[in-house]
Amino acid sequence: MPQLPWPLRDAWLSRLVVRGQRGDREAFRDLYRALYGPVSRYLRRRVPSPADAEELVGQVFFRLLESLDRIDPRKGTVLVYALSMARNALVDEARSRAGRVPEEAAAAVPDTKAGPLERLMGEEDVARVRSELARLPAETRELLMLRFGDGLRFAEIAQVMGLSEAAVRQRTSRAVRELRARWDAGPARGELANDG
Amino acid sequence: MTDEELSRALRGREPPLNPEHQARLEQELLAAYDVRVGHPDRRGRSPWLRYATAAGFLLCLVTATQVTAEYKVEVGKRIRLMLQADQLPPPGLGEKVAHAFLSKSSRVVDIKVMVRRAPDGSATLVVDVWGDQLVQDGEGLQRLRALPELSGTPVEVTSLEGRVRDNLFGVVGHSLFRAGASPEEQEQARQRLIEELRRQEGEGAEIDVDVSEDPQKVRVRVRKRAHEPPLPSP
Repeated sequence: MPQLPWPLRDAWLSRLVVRGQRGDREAFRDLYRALYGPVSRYLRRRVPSPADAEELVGQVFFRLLESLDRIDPRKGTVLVYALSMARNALVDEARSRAGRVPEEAAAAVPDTKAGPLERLMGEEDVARVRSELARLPAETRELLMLRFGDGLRFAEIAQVMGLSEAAVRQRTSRAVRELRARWDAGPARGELANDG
Repeated sequence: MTDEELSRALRGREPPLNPEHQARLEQELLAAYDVRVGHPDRRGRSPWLRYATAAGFLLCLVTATQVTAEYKVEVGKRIRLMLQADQLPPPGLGEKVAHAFLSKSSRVVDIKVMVRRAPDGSATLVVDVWGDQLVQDGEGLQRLRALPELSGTPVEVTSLEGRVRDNLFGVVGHSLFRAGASPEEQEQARQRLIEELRRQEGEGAEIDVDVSEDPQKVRVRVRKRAHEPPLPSP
């Protein structure tokens, strides 16, 4: 996907959907190429096995193709639509596995072992951040994941999770405040910037 | 902890995308897309074909406007009531019958009531309602059946139709003709139609609109003859 400001990106994706609905094969291919990265990253962050994540990516895009005619870009952004489908696929997959709570699966904290994060933050800090995140409710964790992990806007998070934008802003702000407080209670490590 | 640190912690280890999987899935998706939209691989289709299709459509449209067309125009209803031998229609029955086919939005131009007698003594009450936006036949008949004086009387409803011959641009003439159906209104509409056609064809054009009427139908024929501009002298 070209690096565009979000309004242009959304307009471009909407246009691709409309052209794809009219039978424009190249537009559909461009739509797939634009969405592959965000969808794939969304799932890879939440599914430990790369093979499982790729299988889910395939499911998401085939579902997207099946519902192509029903997508109405006026009702929400295409990116959010695709990520909502990815989230649903994740929940469906979790439901099929015994002993896992779907919402927990969608909000799973990513595995950061042996990654570049350790080199940047130090293993101790990473472990502490993960520990603090793991203590949060699943929905709050998912909010933070969508906001800070997937880089979505509040309005987009609201669409993915079926909440109002005001509720998303409020809950995210509260969660970050709690994390700050816990962090400040421990060894000093810096300041949190603006949460909006 | 800064936003950036939180973001990095939540993004986690960001594995690179798998181009092989991306390419394979793209092929599978496009194959499914082709099946879904009902056309095979269209990569070879040249863009000029789209323009050719559009040009063909435009040509058909232009041609259609030049083709003479004939279409019918409903200008009213004829209601026939078969009366019994020696039965005389009560006074005011014709108006009652006509009103059964009128609504608030109806525009009545004229109402004619006639009684035709057959040699065997039976009579037919004929009510012609000339106008626009009359009620549907079914609804009108229902209202007629509700009239006690018509109990058991056979009723027949037909449309009074006009026929307009023109090319497809003559829709303007159509709407003008619908504005009137009585002889006075027809003449007024005829003049307006002539003016409109003259405006379309130019001042030099000869326009003739002929309206003929028989008991069943009104026919409107439009003849236009445009003068060729004189050839330039050498």
